[in-house]
Amino acid sequence: MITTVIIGCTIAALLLLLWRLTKDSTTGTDPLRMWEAEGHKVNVDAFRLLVDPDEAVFLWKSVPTPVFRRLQRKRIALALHSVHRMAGNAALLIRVATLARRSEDAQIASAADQLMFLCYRVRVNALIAELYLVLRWIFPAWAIRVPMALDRYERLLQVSVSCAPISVSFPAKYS
Amino acid sequence: MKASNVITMALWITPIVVQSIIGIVMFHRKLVQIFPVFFTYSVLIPTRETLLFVVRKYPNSYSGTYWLSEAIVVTLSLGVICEVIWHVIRPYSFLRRYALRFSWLAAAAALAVALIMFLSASRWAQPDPLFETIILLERSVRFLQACWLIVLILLMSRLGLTWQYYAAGITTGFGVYSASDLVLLELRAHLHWITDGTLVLLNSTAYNAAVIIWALYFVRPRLKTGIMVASLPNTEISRWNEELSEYLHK
Repeated sequence: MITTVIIGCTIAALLLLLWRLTKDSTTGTDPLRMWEAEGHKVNVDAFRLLVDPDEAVFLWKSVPTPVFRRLQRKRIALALHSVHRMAGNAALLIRVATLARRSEDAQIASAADQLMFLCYRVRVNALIAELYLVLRWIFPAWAIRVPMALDRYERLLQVSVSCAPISVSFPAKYS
Repeated sequence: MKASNVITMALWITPIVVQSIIGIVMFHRKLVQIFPVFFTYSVLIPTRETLLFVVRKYPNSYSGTYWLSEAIVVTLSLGVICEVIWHVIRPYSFLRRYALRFSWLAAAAALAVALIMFLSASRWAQPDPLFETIILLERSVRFLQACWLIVLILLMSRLGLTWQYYAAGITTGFGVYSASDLVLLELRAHLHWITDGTLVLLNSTAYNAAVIIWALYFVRPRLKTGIMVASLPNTEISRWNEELSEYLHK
């Protein structure tokens, strides 16, 4: 029974994605025109306020818990909307950059490479941000912290090693 | 000649003809260097089907040829998906490493699930255990193929990458065939709801559908859009990136 359910879900997911793939394959559409028509304005300052933990703490102190939960969910939903817009815009810009990379003008091609890299970073960051915002929407009172990136952890470790008393010995890897 | 025989023959001969045409078109459009594995697949299938058509009255030769070539075909179909993944990821040097690593991880996970499904199925109680084993093995491979396609499409859509025309066609064709074959193998091997005859007929129909999808993408003349980007639009992309990075590192 479990096997049938797994296979059924796999088939449903595959067919749904294929339908989206054929629907979204907009080969031949001018991406610049699409950007002008579908590119959304994003209010970055508003986004910053919506995800500001100090604002959440202030709200927590100012209103009763049920009201806080309701308002916090509203704020998170708005922040999610902003992230969706950023990700959508980045996807459109990736299409523009893909075409611009073929340009004979070396400057445009190089700028397109940089734009594409930035767009990719926005897409990846938006993906992680969406996940955390959804978690915070489900549990609005929880202060969910994003785990530190590994490089930051290593840097922290190095700093702590350099600040450590001489008598403390560390493995050779960290010394 | 019975109507069922005519349908069987039509379903057998159509892919031979259409895939031969796809092979010729690929050669003519110099797509062989771009999709060598798919080209091999497109040449191998009509060759195999023609051979099977010739030996159809000799059960031993037919069975031997079929199962031997089936193993090669299934391996090649997995190779085609690898080729498509590589083809769509290659232009994006900055994400090549991570995307490929993610694809392999997903494949390993899907393989593990497929193996568990294969080992947990009761095949020894069936009248022909060897045949049941082969069918269950094929179901596991199709499951792996379907999972890999899901990962590929998800990766492309979540990262907002652009599908190339032929890559989208190959993926759609394989996706339709994998999904249909998986349904049929589940109905036959696990649930025993359909007979072997129905399985063969419906499987052939599904394969015909896939071949027609490939033909639509490969044989149909491709419109040259000629869109050129003269300048890049002014955007706040770096600011969005900073804001999101800052939020994630708070």
